[in-house]
Amino acid sequence: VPYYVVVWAALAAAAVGCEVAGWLAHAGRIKSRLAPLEHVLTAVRSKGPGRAVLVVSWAWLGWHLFAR
Amino acid sequence: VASKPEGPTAGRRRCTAPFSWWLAAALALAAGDSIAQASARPFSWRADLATAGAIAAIIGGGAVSLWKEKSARATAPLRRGPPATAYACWALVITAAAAFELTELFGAPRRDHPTMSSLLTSLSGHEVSRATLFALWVVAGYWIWRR
Repeated sequence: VPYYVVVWAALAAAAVGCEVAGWLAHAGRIKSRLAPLEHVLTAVRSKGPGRAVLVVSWAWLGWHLFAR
Repeated sequence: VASKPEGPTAGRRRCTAPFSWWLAAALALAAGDSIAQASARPFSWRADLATAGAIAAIIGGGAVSLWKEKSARATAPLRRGPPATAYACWALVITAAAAFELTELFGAPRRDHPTMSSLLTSLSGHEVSRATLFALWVVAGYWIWRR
């Protein structure tokens, strides 16, 4: 198995783990200080600098993925 | 004393969300741009133009929305945000992904060091998948500005 498949799979598993733990904590099913990605991003975009960082990251990601 | 409503619409619930021509036009533009992007050859000027157009439209629309929000002084009350651990966890995952992507980006040859974009280019034969991914990215950009 190529190393990049292992790395991307590990990163995806970590993201899914964070998301699931975040939702379970939000629903009160487990005791955890994690939160779903949407809640974190909503909190980040509520502040001007946070929103600016999100916009720049979004633009870079799109340019990188779809243009160059 | 308030009088009872009369006429043919009496007793019916009125639709409070009017049809927005702006939203319809934006959706049509986004769909057209997604199709244009998906049908363009990767690394071509058409792909650049479609992506740059979406970036300009979202940032321009967001700036107008922000200006309107400020002029209306409509500041939403701040709720308690997620705990710091949640920020740290997501920051770690996103930073690791970005770091790996950048490492691969500067690695050569590309076949041995594929980036997300090169993996996406392999989908270039599937225009529907590319258009869907592009549309999802545009929606994410809209979400950043949404109030």
